[in-house]
Amino acid sequence: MYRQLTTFLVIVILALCSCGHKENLKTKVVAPAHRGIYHWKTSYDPTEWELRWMEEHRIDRLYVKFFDVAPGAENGYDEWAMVPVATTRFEQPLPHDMEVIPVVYITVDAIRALAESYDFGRNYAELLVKRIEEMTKEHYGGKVKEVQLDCDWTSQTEDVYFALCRHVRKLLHERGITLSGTVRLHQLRQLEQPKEKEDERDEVYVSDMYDTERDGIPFDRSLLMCYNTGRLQNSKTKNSILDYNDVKPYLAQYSQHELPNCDVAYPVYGWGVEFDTTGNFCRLINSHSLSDTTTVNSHDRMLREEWGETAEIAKTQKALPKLDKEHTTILFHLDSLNLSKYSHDEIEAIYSR
Amino acid sequence: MMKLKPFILVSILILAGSTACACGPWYCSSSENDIYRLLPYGAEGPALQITPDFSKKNILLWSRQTGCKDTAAIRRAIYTEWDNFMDWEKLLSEMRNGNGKNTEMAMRNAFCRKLVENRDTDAVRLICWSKKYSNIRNAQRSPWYYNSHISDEKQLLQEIYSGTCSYKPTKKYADRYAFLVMKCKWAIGDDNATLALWDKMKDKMNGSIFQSEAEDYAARSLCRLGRTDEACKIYLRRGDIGSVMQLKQLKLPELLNTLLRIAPESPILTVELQRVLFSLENNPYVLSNKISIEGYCEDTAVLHIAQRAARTTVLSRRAIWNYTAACLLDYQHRPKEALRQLDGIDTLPCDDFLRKSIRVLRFYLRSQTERIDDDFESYALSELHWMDKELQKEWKRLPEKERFKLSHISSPGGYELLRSCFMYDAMRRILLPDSVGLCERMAASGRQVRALQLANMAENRLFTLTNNKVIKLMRESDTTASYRVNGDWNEHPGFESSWVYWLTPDPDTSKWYCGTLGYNGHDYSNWMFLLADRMSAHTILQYRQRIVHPLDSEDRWLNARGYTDADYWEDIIGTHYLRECNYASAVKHLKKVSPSYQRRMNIGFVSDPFSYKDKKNIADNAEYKLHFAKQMAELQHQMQHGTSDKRGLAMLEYSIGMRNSFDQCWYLTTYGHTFYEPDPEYVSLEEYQYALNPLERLAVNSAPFKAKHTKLADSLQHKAFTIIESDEAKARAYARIYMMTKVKNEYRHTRTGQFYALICDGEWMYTPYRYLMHPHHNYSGHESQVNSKRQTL
Repeated sequence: MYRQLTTFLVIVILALCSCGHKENLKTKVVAPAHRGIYHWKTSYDPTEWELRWMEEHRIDRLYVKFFDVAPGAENGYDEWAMVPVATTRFEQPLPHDMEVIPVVYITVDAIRALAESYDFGRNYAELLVKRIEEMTKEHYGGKVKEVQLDCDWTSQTEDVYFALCRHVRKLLHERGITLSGTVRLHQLRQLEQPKEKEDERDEVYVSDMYDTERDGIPFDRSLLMCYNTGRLQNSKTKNSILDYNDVKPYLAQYSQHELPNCDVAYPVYGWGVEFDTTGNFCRLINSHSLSDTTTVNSHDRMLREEWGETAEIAKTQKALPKLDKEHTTILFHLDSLNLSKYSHDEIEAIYSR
Repeated sequence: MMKLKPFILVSILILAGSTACACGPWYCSSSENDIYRLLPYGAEGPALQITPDFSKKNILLWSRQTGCKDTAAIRRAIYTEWDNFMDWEKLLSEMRNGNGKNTEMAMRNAFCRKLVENRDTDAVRLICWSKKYSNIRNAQRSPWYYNSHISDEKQLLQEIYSGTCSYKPTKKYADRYAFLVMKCKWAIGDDNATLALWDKMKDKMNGSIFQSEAEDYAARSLCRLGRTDEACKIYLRRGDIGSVMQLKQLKLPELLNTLLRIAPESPILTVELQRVLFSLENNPYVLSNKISIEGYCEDTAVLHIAQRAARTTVLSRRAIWNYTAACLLDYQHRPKEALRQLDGIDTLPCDDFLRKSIRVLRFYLRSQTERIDDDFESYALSELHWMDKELQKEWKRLPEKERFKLSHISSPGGYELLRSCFMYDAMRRILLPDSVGLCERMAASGRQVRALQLANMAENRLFTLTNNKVIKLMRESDTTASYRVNGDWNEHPGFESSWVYWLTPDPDTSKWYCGTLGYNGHDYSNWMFLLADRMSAHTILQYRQRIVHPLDSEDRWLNARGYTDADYWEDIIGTHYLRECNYASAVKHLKKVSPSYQRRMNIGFVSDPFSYKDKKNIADNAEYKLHFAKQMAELQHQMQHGTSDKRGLAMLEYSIGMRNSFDQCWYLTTYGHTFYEPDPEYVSLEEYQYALNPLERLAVNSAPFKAKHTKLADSLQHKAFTIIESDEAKARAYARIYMMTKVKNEYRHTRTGQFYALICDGEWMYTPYRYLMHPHHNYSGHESQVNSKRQTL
């Protein structure tokens, strides 16, 4: 009897613990309202498999990189601070059964070049918005609701980049479009740090030049990029694509006030990182070539094959603070050779949490 | 700034100290003259420029169509900033509805005023649309432009197109409207429609300035449609070789082959071949190093094409290909084969210019290969007579200003030259270059005077053609020299012989201004001088005598075409006699050099030629060379006469003068100085030819004389002490060469020894060349102390 009672109590306690844990998770993880995926190739020509994959997983948001923005001088345009490069060729029309979000990747060198110019972002914002409009008209037909800017900005380039973003957002708002922007984990820390107090004159100067309110991130929605978290070129790194241990310290600093309306992106790709015997980085091997033994087998080389692991993604998702109900979970990126490494359930698991 | 001036001056002087030259010479390399000519200079220029002068033609047409004579106003209104001040669209509206702000602004521009006054709405409408079109095209050229099918720009272009099509202008503007319609269609990207339009309008546009431009748009459409062969034909017709090369991704040999195949009789072929030849002659590194500049390399491939074409192509073009092949063979240092390539060329049809070019090339090749004898000399002179006549004809054909237009500044070290005078260019090339030049070969064969005469003509023929107004073939670096702008060329009061003048266009007033370098840069700046510098005084004297007393009609003919200034030649002869230490003869010739000429030399030498090692200056350097020659001649006389002491002292003085005339007073024996010291044992013609610059060549020329006479001076100095007998004279002689310790110790009993013992307070004073070591004294201190003691005594 005593033994039965003990067993019962254990079960009750375990059940209670289990219920408590579930309740705790509920407060943190909200299933996303939208499922998204990036298209990050220079040619938009999804395969049948990729189209079917999107359908099976009920993808309703496609983030398509339209073009990069790079310094003009490096691309033969001395008179332009920055110019569009690597414009995506559209071999197929963009799908109409899902929302398309044009994405523009701006290199940090382009922002540095912009800082050297006398434009202060106004003209380039107009050029950028006009170009997105033209491309959307040509290849999508419908009106987009959101445009996304992606940039690996740093503390030195933050002001100029944010000024450009504000101009872009203003122009987009005039057209009834919202602006979202990517935020990398290291940028979270940057946002956390209080701005250095500049003297009054400089404050006025910066404000005049960039037409900027210095506080607040200049996006209507933010996208937290939970990948490329580790040091790629360090041979001791366990997984540079996503390692929860790398993410954890950043998330500790994260506060919901800093990134309102936050979406999150997770990696579903992989690659091989090759080092020599002394641990020096040699090269990055495309995931497509990893199976090619002639490419990767070498006596004097060490290979670290790494993928966006679902377990790490799950841990990260759990660790994230509560996201709003309208948030989107986005995967990077639409590539059948990478996506085929993940089972249907694994993908569903990512989207469901 | 004023305070900086002395420092700048001093810096320049310090820098200039490393080398010096008496009025030059500057290097005028005749190898930079061009001789390969299929076409007159400039005819090959526009080949890669599609329509360099379209805007000019357009402005002139506007002027004719509107009656506005002010072409600058038209340019401002059509091409430049006028849009910032005036809205053409609003002007059009105001022209219909009454005056306004834009009309007021229009009245400030002669062209716009004319349009308003004539109520020329057709023109204003066209300008409105054209300006809009240009703005749209500018936007489309932006890297930010996205070429979508329904871009705003294309919609605007469509609007302009529709408006222009439906507009019915007056007949005089019909071509302008038609051209705009075609441009719009092309810019929209409707290439088939563009070509259809071109087919419809090309006959109507016949003779219009827009025809060629419209055709270019048709070619662009053909390119976009992938019909590149058809596009190439248009580009070839337009002379746009650059587009053909780009379109076909052709290298030069492939381009020539393509041209041979699709347009064997095209004049463009000649233009392109001329460009190849021009490139060869002006970029010596291009083919020799097989480095491609503008695609011009692979000379052998081009040679093979030329030789094949010379055998197989249409008869009318064979002379061109033969000539090209001969040039390429000569370029590859195969002059005999080049000569053979010209065999039979005279029977082939070709134009007058090429006929002359062939004759010149043949003369050039023969002058490199044939033995120099009387027959050849006679042939060479007859060819030069002919070339000179042709040169005079060319000269007369040139506009006044063009005659003086120095065609271009070439790369550093190059110089400006008169390429527009083919015969002069060729004459220099034939006669002057090192070793292969006819003058050098003639001099080597013993015909030195004739060589000098020919070199003189090659260098100075233009000088004589311009009535002794000097045209200097200037090096780029010369432009850094300060100069005075003396005023308008036509108003210039006159020229002094031997002074350098040059002309420059004033971009603001379109006038040509004449400047002068302010010194004589002509006389010692050329190959003829360098040739003469290598010859003996006797040879130059022979030439001088044939200037004064010509032996025959050829002498007279050549004298009339050379620089025969008496001062110039007498100075050179006198200097050469100084170099040869023939002082009596030097006096005879230096006497004839006028003081005014000597003042024009841009080096004023004040170093005392009789100072021993320390560089003392003389108070008056007038007739510097003559004075020295006289002193040396006098010393020579004293060395032969008088007591042994006097003879010995004269010999010592003579040896000092002789050494100095080659060393610190180099100006007495040469015309330039450099720190380059050629080895006198090994100086040869080869060394002369490989010397880097003219100053080094001068150093090579005078090196054997310097070595010989420095040695001689040493032995004379030594001998002088053996001749001198008395202690007194010996003491004076030792004191003369600053051997004070010897004077003090061994000749104290003499008056000279006592004198120096009295004036020298310290031991250091006996060692004049160690004065720098003394802590409180310097050179001038030593001099002044000795002098003050002397006065006290």
